[in-house]
Amino acid sequence: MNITIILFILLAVLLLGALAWAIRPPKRRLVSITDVLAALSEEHHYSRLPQILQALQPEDTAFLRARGFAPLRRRIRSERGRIALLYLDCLQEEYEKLLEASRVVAAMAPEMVALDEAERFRLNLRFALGCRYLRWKLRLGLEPWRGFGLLSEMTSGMALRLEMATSQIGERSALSLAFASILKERDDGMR
Amino acid sequence: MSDTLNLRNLAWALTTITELILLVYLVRRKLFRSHPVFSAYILGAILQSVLMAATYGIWGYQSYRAWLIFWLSQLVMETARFAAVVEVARRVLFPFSGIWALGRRVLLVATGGVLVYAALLSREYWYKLPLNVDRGVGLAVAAVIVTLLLFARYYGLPMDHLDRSLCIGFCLYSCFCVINDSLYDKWLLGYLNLWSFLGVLTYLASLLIWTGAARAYSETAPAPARDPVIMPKELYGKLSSELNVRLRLLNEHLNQLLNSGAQR
Repeated sequence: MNITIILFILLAVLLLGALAWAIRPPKRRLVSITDVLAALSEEHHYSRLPQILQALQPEDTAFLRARGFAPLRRRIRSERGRIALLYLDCLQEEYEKLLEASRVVAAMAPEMVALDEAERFRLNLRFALGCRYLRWKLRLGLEPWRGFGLLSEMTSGMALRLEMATSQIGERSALSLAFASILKERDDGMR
Repeated sequence: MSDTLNLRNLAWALTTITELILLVYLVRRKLFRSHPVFSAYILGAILQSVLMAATYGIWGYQSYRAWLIFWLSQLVMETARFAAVVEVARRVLFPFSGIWALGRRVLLVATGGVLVYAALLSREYWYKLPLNVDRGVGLAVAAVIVTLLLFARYYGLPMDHLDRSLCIGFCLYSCFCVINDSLYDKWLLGYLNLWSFLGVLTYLASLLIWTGAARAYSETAPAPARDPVIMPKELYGKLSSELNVRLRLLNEHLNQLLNSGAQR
């Protein structure tokens, strides 16, 4: 078959698939400022990161093997891996809340920086892939040091971007209010 | 062949009747005010059917004039279809000035990219220009709709049932046009009536989706909030300081992580 025809049909089928994906009912969304505030004021799971990292270090349980408790050591390490997975779920949930908050802010922004949005989108993809990669590493009992560090850094980056966007909106709001007040004063003066 | 021809004529008649019903709903529900371009598109489609019926009656199906009139009217309809999709995109994105500013650029890039892609792939077949234009516009329309829906989903923008149905109908019809044109290009040259019948059938399905949405549309039903919430200054101050605290905490944890990593 002609490659041109295959490419056209493939693209049309891909677009149909994307349409089917895009029209699915969305998951629960944060829609108000109150929700954003609630999400931002919730407990920060990444504050437990040092303890989690400490618990996952092989050296932390090495003494058990040295004293002949190898099965106990395996069980403890498996338990700690399970806890790390739960922690990862919380981290992902927190990241998604931050992302949602940034979307709410974007919907109220008078203008958006395309590069920032693209960067956030890219980060989101990286985070999703990183989380999946890390889950597999934990399930396979591998050392997840680098992965956790990367995810923590990305969460921090998201908060920084959100802060910048909020600052811009605040400045615009203040300017709008000031402008409205000037116009009002001018109208009052003309009467 | 004769059966297919009869089926096609039947589908054609059904299509025109459905278009008329849809137009009546658009007028009765006063949707022509909120969707003027889409209303014009449906009116244009009815006029095109009348024009083609007259053309085929005078010059016959196989004449060059009928071919020319069909493709010229089709070009007008393609433009109207694209304009109707832009109208929906504007309706969904415009209330959010920041998202609209970015969205229109993304949609423009998507349209341009798809048209260039279609033109490059069709460059060896310029003698089939009308078919290629039909396919290129179909791809562009579908790409714009999918991009718009993804945008709306990503930012959680409200989209009413009618606009969503218009998007689904246009996208289904456009994608089928692309597949249909591509298959026709290769294999269905000998099956013109079947090709035409399948095309009309897809269009009829889209019309039924739109008619259902226009029928279900109620002026009194609460519309999804289109005006974005304006952030008050006091609330912004609170939010900003909250974010600052969070940022400091994040940096602190990051530092702890870095230090503990260095200690290993």
